[in-house]
Amino acid sequence: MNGKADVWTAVEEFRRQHINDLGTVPVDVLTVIEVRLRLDVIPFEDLFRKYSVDAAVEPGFTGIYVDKQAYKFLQGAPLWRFNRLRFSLAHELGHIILHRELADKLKFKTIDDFQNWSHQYQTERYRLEWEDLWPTL
Amino acid sequence: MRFGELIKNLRIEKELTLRQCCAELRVDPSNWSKMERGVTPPPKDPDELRRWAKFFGLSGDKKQEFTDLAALARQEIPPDLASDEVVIAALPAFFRAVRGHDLEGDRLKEFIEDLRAVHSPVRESAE
Repeated sequence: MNGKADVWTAVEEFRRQHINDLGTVPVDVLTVIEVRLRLDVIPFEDLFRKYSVDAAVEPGFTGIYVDKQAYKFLQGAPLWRFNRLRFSLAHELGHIILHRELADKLKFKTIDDFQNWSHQYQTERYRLEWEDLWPTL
Repeated sequence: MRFGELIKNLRIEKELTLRQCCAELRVDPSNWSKMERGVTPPPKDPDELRRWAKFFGLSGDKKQEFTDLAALARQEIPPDLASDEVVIAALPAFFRAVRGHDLEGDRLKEFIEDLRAVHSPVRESAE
């Protein structure tokens, strides 16, 4: 999947299947991820403080790591923190929607395998098209 | 069915996210996540299990199944720490860093140790 038209098609199909009947705006991305898609949310201690990462997809696309503190205290968190985590989760969801075909390929046997793939992906394939999935409301 | 699958199904039937469920039950989301994934066993305390069963509206055979699966899960002793194989297999596929840096060298080693904790059991399964 490469072109923008493909992305929009995938997004519209996803909205039709999992979002439209939720009837809430803005969309509760956690409900989509955890309840509709049944993905595991895996709290990760200090993910943001130590690695500057809010969320990351687990191999096999069965779960998403989230910053433990941000997730646990989401309700009382400052708005920017809430929006940031929500956006990051939507971004990760974009990977799940658009790169599902990679799920079986992304099973690393060694750390070198992981690093080589990560490097290649970051430099050659990283695109931001799926940011359009969850426009600011 | 394993106990972890059961509590995940029950939570989803109530249309609750992990965080919402844990807030209602006053348990730690990380520990609950580990229980759902079978990394850590459920608590021994029967009162705590009864409280959870009540929260999910279980009675009769369903409540008995809940209690039985919890007991079974406690008999499966998980390893103290996730193995290297488990951790490498759990390296995140897509890593969205704020500053766009990759994980390399010592930083990657540190990350792997932190990841090991995510996939390893804890002593207490409820706060």
